[in-house]
Amino acid sequence: MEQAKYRIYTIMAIMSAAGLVLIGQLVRWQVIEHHRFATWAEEEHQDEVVIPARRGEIRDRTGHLLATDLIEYDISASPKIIADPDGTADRLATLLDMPRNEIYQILTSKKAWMPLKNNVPQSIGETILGWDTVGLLAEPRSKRVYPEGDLGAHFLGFVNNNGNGFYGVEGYYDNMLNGSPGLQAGERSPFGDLIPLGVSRFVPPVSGPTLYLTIDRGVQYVAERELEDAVLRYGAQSGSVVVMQPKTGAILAMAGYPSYDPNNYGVSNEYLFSNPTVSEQYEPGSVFKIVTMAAGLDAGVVGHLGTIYDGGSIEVGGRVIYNWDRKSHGEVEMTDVLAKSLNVGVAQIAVALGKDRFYTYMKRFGFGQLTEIDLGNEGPGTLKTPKDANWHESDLGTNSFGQGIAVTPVQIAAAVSAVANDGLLMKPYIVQRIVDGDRQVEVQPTVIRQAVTAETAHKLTDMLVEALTRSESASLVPGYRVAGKTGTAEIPVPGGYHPTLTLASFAGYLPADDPELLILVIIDRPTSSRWGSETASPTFKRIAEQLAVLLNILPDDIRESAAIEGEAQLTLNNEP
Amino acid sequence: MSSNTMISLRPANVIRQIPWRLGSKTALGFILILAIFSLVGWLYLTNASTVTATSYRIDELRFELDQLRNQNAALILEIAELEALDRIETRATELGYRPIADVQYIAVDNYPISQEPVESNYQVVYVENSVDDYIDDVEQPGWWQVKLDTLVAWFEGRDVDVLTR
Repeated sequence: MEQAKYRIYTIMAIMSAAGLVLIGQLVRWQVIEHHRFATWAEEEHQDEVVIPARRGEIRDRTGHLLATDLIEYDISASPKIIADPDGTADRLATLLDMPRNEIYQILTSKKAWMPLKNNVPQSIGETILGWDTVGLLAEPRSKRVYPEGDLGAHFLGFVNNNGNGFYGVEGYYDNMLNGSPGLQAGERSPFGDLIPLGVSRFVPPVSGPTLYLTIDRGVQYVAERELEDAVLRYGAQSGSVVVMQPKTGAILAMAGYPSYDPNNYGVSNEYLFSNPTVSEQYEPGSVFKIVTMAAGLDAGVVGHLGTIYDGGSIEVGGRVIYNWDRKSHGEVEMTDVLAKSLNVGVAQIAVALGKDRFYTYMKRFGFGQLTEIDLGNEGPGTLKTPKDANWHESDLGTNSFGQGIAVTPVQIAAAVSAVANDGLLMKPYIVQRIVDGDRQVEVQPTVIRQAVTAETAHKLTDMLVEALTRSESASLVPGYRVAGKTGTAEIPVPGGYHPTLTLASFAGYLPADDPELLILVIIDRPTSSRWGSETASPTFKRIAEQLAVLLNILPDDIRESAAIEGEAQLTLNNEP
Repeated sequence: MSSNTMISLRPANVIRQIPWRLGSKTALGFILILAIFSLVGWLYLTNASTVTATSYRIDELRFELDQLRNQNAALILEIAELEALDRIETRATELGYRPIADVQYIAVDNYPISQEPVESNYQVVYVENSVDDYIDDVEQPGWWQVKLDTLVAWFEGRDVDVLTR
């Protein structure tokens, strides 16, 4: 009897213990981990589908499409739930242009999911979706397309497979172009579809805005074609061209050669992606004499009709500076300092200015700082000033003719534009208008500062025009007064400068009295001739001639006669 | 219950004698409630099926709209590709067009010229960055520095402002 009682108590104890374990587990699930399980359960039933937004388009100033999104489809299958693999393989083989057996093997495999073909055209993807075959999936995918091919690749940049923009406008305006993705949330059916009757939420995606650039694709085309021609013609390594409106700072063209096709950026070398006109820093050489001369005129240390004695060399900070021809030119006019590109002459101007005034003017023209153009990867250049530890007295002399200073093409373009624009330094910009549905934002030209007075700018323009005429420059465009300056910069190498290789350039604007265009041409390491006057200048002329016609810039005599006629008509109309 | 109470077992009597037997008004009330519930249920089901059908239709239309937008974008892209400048140049060359070699502008006498002032379509924005402020950023030569520069120039045998003639 006692033994029976003992057994009963034992069984009761075991059952109680088991009961306690169960109760404990229930308390854990129902109370302690309630939230986790509730969330888990909800996740099983609820689903959220992110709807990607369409990336904004990029168009040129005339509205021509430069970049847009194209929908492609990735086709895949869930073999286990395909009811008729035989028939489906037949239909897919013709549509996807794939061997029927290969498709059949995929559709009958034991795997839960198998890819069939990626990046198929939109029409094919939509046809497959139209079949509504259970187990056959067509996933849309955006692909960035550039209909003009490699035209403007450097300022456009590209978009990778994840939809992220890199370089150029695509990189700089990436967040804006991306728009806002939408969301569809609700209860999910066993087949994974959202149940329309359940509690659901739909937030439509907001497409990115359309960016209208200041770029004119016609101007860009001419610039790129002539640049490529020049690089090949003069046996150069590379080159770049900037075309700008001096009065606004709007960029009309930005060309770099060699370039790449943003539609197929994956096959190009990475070094080609960077935009040389904003990222590449170089010693400007004699083009920089425009800036030194502007400073000298503005500060009053030289008169534009004055003369200077060129003894063939000058010592600045212990370093002897010579002219490019190693000759003495004696008493020369200021205009001849530019026409003959005399290093000794501009070095004397820099010395007369003194280091503080000289570098103040350099900064006024924006050197050593970002221009803040709306493009990614901009370089600030290098301008050593007396405040820097590595600055030397001799830098004053060498900087005056563009040596020992690093600039970007867009900095030089902006600085020379300031001379063309009554001394006003404009901020270069490439996006003209942002259109987002009914909203439209027009980007206004921005004056950074008055670099020199309008009087100085006009005097210098006259000198530059005269200098080109006197030197019978190859840059002269018949019918137009052109103001500009050539440059032949030696290329710095460790321990000094390369003995033969140069960087040839020309910066000029026209019509000189009412500048509509500034064109900067840079030819890197030309081999047929090392001089800017024989490589960059004729390239400038070829571009300017075509752009004058393209942009309907009338020759000087036609404009003058039209102005006289207009005044005469005005006088006649105003007569009582 | 008293002992002389008569209990009839006939069905009619049994029904009549059931203690919870409903009155006719109560029964009518029940039927009305049932009818209302049925009506509400029917309305709910009809509505729910309409909502479901409409939701599916909205989904379909949304999908169709997306497809049409994509097709439209594809057509715009195709037009842009056909209008690409290198393609136009190739086609123009095939048709015998040549780049212009010499452009002559002809002034037309008494050509009507608009006397309306041409207004630029942009407005220039001046940033707050005055020249004077900027110059202050760079150290200006002091009085002593100017004197020293003059002295150095004198020793070197040159005039500081020799360039201004």
